[in-house]
Amino acid sequence: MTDLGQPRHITAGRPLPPRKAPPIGPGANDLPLQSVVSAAPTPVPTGEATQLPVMAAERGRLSRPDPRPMRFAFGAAAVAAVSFLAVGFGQPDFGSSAEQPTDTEALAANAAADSTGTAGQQTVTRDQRITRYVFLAPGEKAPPGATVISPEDTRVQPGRETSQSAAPAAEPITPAAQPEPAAPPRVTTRQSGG
Amino acid sequence: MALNTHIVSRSAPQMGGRLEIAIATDSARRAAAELAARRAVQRVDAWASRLTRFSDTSDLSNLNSRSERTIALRPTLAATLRWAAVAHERSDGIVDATLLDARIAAERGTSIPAVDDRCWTIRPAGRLAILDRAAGVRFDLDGLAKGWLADRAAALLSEWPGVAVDADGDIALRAAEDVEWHVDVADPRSADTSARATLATLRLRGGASWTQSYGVATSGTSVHRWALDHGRPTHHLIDPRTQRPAHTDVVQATVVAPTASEAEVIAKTAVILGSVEALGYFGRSAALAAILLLESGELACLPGIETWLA
Repeated sequence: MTDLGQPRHITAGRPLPPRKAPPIGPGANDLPLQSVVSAAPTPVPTGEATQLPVMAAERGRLSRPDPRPMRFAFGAAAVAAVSFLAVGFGQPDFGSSAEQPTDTEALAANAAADSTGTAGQQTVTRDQRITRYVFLAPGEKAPPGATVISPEDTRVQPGRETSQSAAPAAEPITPAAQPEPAAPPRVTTRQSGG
Repeated sequence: MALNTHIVSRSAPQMGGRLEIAIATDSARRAAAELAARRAVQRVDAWASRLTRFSDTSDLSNLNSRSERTIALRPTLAATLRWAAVAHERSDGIVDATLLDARIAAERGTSIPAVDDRCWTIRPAGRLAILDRAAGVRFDLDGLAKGWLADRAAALLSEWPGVAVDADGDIALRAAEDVEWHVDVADPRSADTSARATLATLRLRGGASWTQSYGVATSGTSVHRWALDHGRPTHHLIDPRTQRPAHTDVVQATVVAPTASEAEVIAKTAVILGSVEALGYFGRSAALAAILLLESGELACLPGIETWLA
């Protein structure tokens, strides 16, 4: 007599794979009573067994926004602000009237080396602009594109070291002659015909 | 602000006299000041054309030609008559806008038509106004309108630091900080009008940090004066108490007040009242300074006049 509830499997004598655990959820109790798990109960993964609680926990975390992106943004802004202040404090004073030291000998040496091609074995390519100062003898003309500095300008003297020196003596300021104050406007009141 | 005081002036004949507008400005804004002065003159022309009795098409002439006791008035005439009502009250009844017939009679040497009642009131009606007057009341606004027009023209030019609007002798002035106007008081006794002899020079200064407004008006009986056929002298200032030209010891009164309208009313009242009553009246009025030229040749001034002299 066949057991009606027992599944019939046609196998080649191999043991049947363990029956899967019944699903948890609605209808879980609707399985036939005669369902038999042939092998030992398969250990249920933690996630599956606790699927509902895990989802609940995730829902709880998702209810609060992730603070890490904003923390990163604030931190980056703080770093930028500190950098801005550091650059502002550290930059040179361009408004100073003091002369800036100029290593004219080095520039002259480079200019000479460039022209003669004997700059040494180690050639350093610079991508910065080099200013050449050329002393014009009387009667000589400046090369095209050059800016002529008048002899009276003592800011740069080719061939001499310059060092930070005191600002040239300020010329006495002669106040412009103030115009005479204009006379107040004038009108006349007289008897009217009204 | 130091100005080079380029005086931009425009003048035009108006209401039997002359309107002059002077704007003190620097050279950079001279063109704009000339344009502003020109526009102000045009506006005053439009207003004056409605208030003059010398034009048959003016609102005032139209009012005087109609016999209705209740009549609607247009805004400009209504505003002027409202000021006339205030002036009548502030002058203790001396300044009266209903003396047109008496003035014409004085000019022609004719008898004054009998007018039992010169009462009138004005009440607002939207943009218009409703005038209720006794029968036969006719209005003369020449003197009242000049001061009133000067003030309105000065208000049009309020953006400028120094403004003087001279409406035939009634002057409205505005002086900003560091701006100072000198106002010469003409001497009517000088036979040579080109020499512009002066009785005094008033100095009107701007506020410490604000724009100060002034009005200067001169009223008198020595300039606009004529002799009738039988030699009796007469002039244009009518005493409402007698409806005849006033005869007092005041030849000329110059008054400084906060506005030209007020200065004109106070000056006219002083001439009609005479020196004794006028000095008492000044204390009840808005006069800031006053100079009276008496028949004796003396000058009577309010206390503190030294602070107003240049």
